[in-house]
Amino acid sequence: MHMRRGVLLALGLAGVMVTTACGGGGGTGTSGGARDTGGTVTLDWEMWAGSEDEKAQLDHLAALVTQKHPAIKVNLRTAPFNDYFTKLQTEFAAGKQPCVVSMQSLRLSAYADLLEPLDGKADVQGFAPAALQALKLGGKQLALPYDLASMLLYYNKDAFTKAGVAEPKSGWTVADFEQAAKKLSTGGKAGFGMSFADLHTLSMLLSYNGAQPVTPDVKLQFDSRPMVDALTWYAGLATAKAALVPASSSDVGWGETQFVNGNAMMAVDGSWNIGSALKDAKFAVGFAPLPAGSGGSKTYLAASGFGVAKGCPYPAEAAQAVSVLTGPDAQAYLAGQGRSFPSRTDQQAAYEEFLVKQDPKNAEAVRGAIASVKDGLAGGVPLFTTKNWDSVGKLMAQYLIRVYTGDQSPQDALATIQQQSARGQ
Amino acid sequence: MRAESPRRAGRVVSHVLLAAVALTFLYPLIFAVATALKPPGETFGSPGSLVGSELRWRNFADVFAYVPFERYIGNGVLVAGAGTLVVLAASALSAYAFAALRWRGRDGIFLVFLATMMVPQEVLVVPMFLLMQAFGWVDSYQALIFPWAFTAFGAFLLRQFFKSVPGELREAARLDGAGEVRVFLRVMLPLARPALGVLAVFTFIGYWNSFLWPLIMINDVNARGTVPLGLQLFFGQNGNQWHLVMAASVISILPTLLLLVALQKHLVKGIATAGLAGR
Amino acid sequence: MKRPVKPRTTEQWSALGFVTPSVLGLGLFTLFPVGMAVVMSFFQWPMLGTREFVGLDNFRYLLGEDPDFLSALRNTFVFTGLYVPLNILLALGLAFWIHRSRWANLWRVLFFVPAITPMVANAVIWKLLFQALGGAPNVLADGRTALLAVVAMSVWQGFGYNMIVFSAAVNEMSPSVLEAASLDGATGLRRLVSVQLPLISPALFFAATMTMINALQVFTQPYILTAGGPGNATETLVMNVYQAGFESRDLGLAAAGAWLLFAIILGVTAVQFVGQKRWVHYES
Repeated sequence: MHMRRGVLLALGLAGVMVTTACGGGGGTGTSGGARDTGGTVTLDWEMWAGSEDEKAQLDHLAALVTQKHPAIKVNLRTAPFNDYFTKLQTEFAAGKQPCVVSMQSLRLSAYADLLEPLDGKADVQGFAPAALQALKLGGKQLALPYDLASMLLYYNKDAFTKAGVAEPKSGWTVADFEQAAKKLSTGGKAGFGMSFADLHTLSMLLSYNGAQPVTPDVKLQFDSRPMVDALTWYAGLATAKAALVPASSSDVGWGETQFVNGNAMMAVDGSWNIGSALKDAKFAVGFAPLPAGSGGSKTYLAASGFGVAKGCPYPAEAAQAVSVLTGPDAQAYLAGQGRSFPSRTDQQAAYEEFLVKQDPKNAEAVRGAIASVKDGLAGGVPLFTTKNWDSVGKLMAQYLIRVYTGDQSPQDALATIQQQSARGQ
Repeated sequence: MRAESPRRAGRVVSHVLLAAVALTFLYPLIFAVATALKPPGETFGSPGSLVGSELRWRNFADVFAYVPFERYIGNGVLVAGAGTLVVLAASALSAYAFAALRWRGRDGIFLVFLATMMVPQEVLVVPMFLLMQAFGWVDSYQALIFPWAFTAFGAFLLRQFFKSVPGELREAARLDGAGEVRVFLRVMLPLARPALGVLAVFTFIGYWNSFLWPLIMINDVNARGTVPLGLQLFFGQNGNQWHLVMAASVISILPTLLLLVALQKHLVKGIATAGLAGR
Repeated sequence: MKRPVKPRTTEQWSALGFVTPSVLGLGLFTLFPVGMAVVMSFFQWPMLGTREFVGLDNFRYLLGEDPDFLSALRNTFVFTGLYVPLNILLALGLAFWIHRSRWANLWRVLFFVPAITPMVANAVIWKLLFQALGGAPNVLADGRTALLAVVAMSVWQGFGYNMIVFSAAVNEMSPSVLEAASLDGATGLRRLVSVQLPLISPALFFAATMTMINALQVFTQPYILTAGGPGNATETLVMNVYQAGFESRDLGLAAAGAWLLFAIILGVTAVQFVGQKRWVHYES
């Protein structure tokens, strides 16, 4: 008796819930902003942030909006970087999304239908074209960038000197890289720290032979010939004992962590880590463009920025807020704080100056790093991703490691990734 | 005397063995504390080595400078403390009904209780989020406390312990004219102190370590964030502060450890030591 | 067994009073979301976007087409089969061992510390230890050993809970019964099996049931230690559910997976409850 009544009650309630959820959920309802009696619009802005310093920087940006538009207030909510997207998608699912959404280019396609195109509503002058391009999908500008990143080769200058290997420089080739990796693999240390993370791994494959896992019309092609060839080469570094294989599929930041800790003499990492690598490493760090393969040095580019959620009750105000958050003043401020490589061309020099001032004895390394970033931007392409890129990333972690350890052939692993992620791309 | 000494020697051997087992067992934790004292950029340098280039006690101070970790600890204590009280009250009441009273529908309802333990939390998160929104509880302490306060775990644990209390004790109290509430408060609760202590510790830890739900529910991390949310802040967009993660983890053990030590004597003072078992 | 002295209806009413808070709370905060999850499992319910009724398609996909579901099922069973006995034996053995020690309190706290240490820290440390063990590939990257490594870390991390439960039960063992047994000449193993274990059997039953339920829902340890890899060697059922819900953003599929898991756990627990009559001894 009791049991049946309980179940019926639950089902009845669930029915009510479904009806209300259909009306309000899925990002169709309005949320994330409010207008008070005085006419001031308050907009919620959600962003990832860690330290107090980082939060203070973001609060400063929010204040810039009110300075420029006194009738707009921005209310900042933050989440830890690793969990930001988990939180954001739950909020979208429940129709409680903020008005101003922080977005990464790699996640853009999953959220494309939930973002208001900004074309014609916000000023796009002064941005580096690559940064704008990375946050564009289907010809629509879905977010405005606040930073821009390319992938670089980080190397241990001390180790190179000690082993008598010529330091990498612009124009160095895949063959040079392999030779250096082999020579530097001595005494329990490895020449290179491998990775299975998307930007880190795929950029190397791209630079090797131009292999791309996604077609220009955003379809997965992990099992294509160039991908197999490039992965065979990359995994060969492990077989030749010239590289450290990640300890498990959960070690997403393997290569760069092993590099900073002095266990790997080279690693691929994003331009965003130039400052922290210089600070944390106990050795001299150098930077170079990725080794050039058959088509020259190439890297994927990524950008982060701010967009306006569909269902925001004040889209015009939100677009204005995004314009200020990514405007010249905001960019100048962030560059001066050393946040990341600016998306606006005019402010990029200020970022370089920040890094130099941070550690004057590393000035040369910093100049080299920025030069390499600019090199990368020139030959870089945005990495366009499918809707199910999270699943793709998980599969790469699970199956690429099997290739590195020699448990599975590159063909088989790539075919598995392709096959399992076909659903929902 | 002669019979005493072999037994004594046995005890010493037993303790030495126990200490060896404990040390092996605790090695990972010793390692954790050592890692918390390593400088940045050395956490993963030469795996297996206990100390880095210096013992960096500053890491512990840096945790609090990097984020307001003391506030997360405060919030965690508040949420876990309040949640534990609610769980203890609700579980003890229902466990008494399940263990000591005879009523229609008892077994059916108990089965439903148990069944709810088998639903993974990951599935409930989105419906629960909608419910909290309907209550207007998003970004509040009560949203962290109540949704998980009525788990069947406590009812089940206490029922098992209540059931091992001799029925005669209750019957005797009833014959003395005590009502059910009185029997519950005066007979059962004191006897179940160890079980209540166990439940308090487990519940506190459950709340203290809960991560997915606070992540989704709390918007203002600095105002209402708990310790696991705080820990995540050391994993950033620009690399991870592993040395701080380890230091913060070591710090975050302390409140639960204190609770455990404080409840120690209750955990062992059972029927046997209370001298009530002579039937 | 004596009959209750009071009329039945009074007992019925007071029982109602005792269970109401829990029943209301559980109904509102658990059954209701569960009910919603039932509804979801019959929908194609993307986290972001429009939903559509699909009947049993989600279940059909999981059991027929999902390349991971069946291996996740197998991994979960292997994990449970290893984890539960190891955990209980270790916890039981240590509970009896430290029971006789003068510093029982100290040991109990020490053995419980891993259970209260944040899982991120535990995972980092174990990864470093596995790495220090050497071996190429790392045990966590080798499909033959990864799941065993997850079991080892989980037992280390989790048996403290059961040890506390057993310790409390061992302390509650009635001295008069133990005394009677020793007068009967019961010693050593015979005393343990025929006297002490029956005395703590309610706690043993509780621990076995809960550990089994938790083991079947294992998620955090493999998630942060191995992320399901290499291949799908350490992918478990709840990871499969989590992946469907939070990575593929398919709530319908996640709910369906959860229902299958629920059915399995319910079945296992029901068997345990039927079986308990043979070995669990309650006082009243």
